[in-house]
Amino acid sequence: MSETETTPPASEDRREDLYLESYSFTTAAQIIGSVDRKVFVYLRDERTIFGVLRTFDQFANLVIQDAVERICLPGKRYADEERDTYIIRGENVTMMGELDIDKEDQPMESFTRIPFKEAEREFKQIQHNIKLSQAKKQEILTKNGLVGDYIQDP
Amino acid sequence: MLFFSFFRTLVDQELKNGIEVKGFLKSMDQYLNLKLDNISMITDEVKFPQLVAVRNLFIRGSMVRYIHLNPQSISTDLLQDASRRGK
Repeated sequence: MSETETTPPASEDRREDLYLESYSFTTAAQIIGSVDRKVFVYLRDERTIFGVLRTFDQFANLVIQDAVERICLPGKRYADEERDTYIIRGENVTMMGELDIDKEDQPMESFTRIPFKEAEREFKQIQHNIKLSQAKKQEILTKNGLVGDYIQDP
Repeated sequence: MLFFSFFRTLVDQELKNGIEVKGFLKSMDQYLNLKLDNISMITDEVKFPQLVAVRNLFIRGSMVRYIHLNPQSISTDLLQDASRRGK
């Protein structure tokens, strides 16, 4: 095989370098490593979803396959519910973490599993209480001219 | 990219919903989306027991309230330079 066949022309080489350079500070570059890996997604309404990340875009819209919603409650209790596939709109994502599948069950060993319905009811109650206390705080802040951004949907 | 100067320094940040995360800044972009490595602390461990198994964490910029950098690990001269260059 001759040298001309194995190495690309110089101009093409540069183009690729240019592409990689502009690519390094994009949302895509940050998430691409987690594609096809097991991730957890923490949403704006404080829900946590576990699943396999299949695709994403520049807004951090995510597609999660084989999703499981997990609720963790005080007193080392948790509940799981299988949810199939999710398309999550980016604005609702707070954070997303790649999970080490060897270690992921480790923290749950000391937890007791409870029925999801029961957990959901308690979780909503906790959320509601937070919302009430935040509303009170917000009222005081607004009265004093401080418009905050802590807004939790129910 | 001003924050590029702080790459690989330990950052501590609070999100709008009161969660606090600490880790090594690995990458960030124009929206202030962040990617952290070695997540070492989060305020509410009851809510995030899965955190021990997390390899890296992507945080959406819109949810960030502030980023705190340890004064020992940043160079103020470098920061001033970078802010004034205006690139």
